[in-house]
Amino acid sequence: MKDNEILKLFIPLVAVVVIFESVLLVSKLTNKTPSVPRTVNNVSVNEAGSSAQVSENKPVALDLLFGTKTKEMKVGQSYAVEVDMLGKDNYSFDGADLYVKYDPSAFNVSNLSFDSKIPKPTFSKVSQQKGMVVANYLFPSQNGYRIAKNEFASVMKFDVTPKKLGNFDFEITTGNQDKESATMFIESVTSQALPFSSNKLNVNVLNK
Amino acid sequence: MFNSNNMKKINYTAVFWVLTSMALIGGLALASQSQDTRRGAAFSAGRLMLLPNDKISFTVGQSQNVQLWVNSGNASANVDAIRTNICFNKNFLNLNDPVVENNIKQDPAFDTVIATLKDGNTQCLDLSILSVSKKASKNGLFKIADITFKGVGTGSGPIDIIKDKTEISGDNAGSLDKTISIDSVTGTTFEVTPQTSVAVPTTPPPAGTPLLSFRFAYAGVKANAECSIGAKWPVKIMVRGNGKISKAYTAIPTLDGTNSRGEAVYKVTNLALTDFDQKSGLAVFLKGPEHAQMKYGVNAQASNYTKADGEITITADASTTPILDFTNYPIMPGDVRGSASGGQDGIINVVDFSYIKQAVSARSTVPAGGGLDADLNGDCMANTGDVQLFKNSLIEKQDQLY
Repeated sequence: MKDNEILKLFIPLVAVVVIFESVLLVSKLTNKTPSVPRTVNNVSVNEAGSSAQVSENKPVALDLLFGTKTKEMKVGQSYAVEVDMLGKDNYSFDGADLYVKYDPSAFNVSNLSFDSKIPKPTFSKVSQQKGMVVANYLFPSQNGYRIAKNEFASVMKFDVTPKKLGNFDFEITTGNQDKESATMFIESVTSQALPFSSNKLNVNVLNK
Repeated sequence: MFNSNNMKKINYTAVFWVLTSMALIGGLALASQSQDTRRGAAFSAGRLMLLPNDKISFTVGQSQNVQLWVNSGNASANVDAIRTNICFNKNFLNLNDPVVENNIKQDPAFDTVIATLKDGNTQCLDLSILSVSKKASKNGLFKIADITFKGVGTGSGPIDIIKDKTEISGDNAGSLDKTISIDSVTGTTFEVTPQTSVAVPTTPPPAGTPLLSFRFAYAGVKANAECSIGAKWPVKIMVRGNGKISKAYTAIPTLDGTNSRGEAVYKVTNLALTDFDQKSGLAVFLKGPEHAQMKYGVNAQASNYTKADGEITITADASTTPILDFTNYPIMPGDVRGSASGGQDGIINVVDFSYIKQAVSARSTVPAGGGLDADLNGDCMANTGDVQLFKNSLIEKQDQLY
């Protein structure tokens, strides 16, 4: 009997407590502050040598990715390397400068080509003297070049022929002390350089 | 009849029913509220900005438009009204017309402008632009108005948008939310310079000072270009030779005919290199206000000079120092901006292009004799001619560098 009475009191009490907590929770949800966007510590454009102004609190706009069928190459054989772009959100660019640095004593680079989905660069060159693959894109249309979130695009392709044994890198450069060779993507209207992330392509060159 | 046991039963039963009723009422109240936790939040995040977003040059008495742009955040967020405060130092800058609304030219999609000036330490324009009788139809990124300012005194400062006093409202189809939150506001800066330059008397240079005279051209600038003259397009000069480098000199060149391409030729005569004592084996470096630095190592140079130092000889006698001819290798334009808000950085790259493109999109113009940084050919407007000149410079410069 006593248990019954306690139960009769206990259940409604629990019900009231649950309702009270629910009201509190819902009211807290309306005051929730937005989360801080993810940023990447190795935001390339903002390193020393770059002249473009970048907002450090802006999230990464796109990823630049190297791709190749094999990272183990043999001296004298030709291999295709691709540089691709993955949009992290919707952006519109007025232009982009892209610089890929490599060791010219270790590789011959040739057959630089571009996907037809992206307007052809205004200037492009493989500089064996400087060990640099260069592409400068200008998008004069009012809306520039648009990349959507999760959109994947091939930016450039080139062939590499190893000349000597060893471990070597291809990497996206962010500028030297003279501010030259700085890879950057400039957002339309604001003219701000958008942060991007990039990987390195590490190649192990083996004997034939 | 009413013994203690019965009383206890009644009390527990009463408490039970009271609490259960409260729980039921509370649950009904909660369920009747909207479950949309975004209620009261904005349906989009917008931005307001003034363009151009770097230093705007005025002379005293000169008026120019500053553009007010809105970004509603997404294509479904239609803007039907904005209200903001734009503040500036009235000692240097003010609105062009005493009737405040006359200084605002809004986008035709908006039919009402309410504008007042609020005086204080900083003068502020309290501006509302509304679409009252028209259906809200502008979304995404668009220019909402041109505001005409006038330089009234020599000085510089910011033109600020006050974020706390900025509101954007819009039509969000399918929802009662009307608010577009303000993600950021971006102002700009200005500089007002005197209308006429004052000639500063100079003392003759010490005997033996090397004298440099030369003729040169800016690529793409024709003789009739009205905005590439005088103090608006000074040329910066540096000389290097035998391991020594002079300081940077600035000269106002004079027009001196045309070259074989019809480009205007400018002349600088007897520039005294007061901090420099070398007279032979020289290279001369020239740079214009929107131009890359060019190296001239020989007289009558017609292409890129790649050797170290140079082969130029000058004298300290005005009657014998040669007038060097650099007109067949014009100075390349394109170094306009180092960053979205900074000055030249010595590099021709996509940052410069973005600045020029914005000016071309805005159809920026200045009166004859005025200055416009994106105007690479000196015709007082930003247009496709400037874009083409930029492209030519980028291609040539990059080919030299790589």
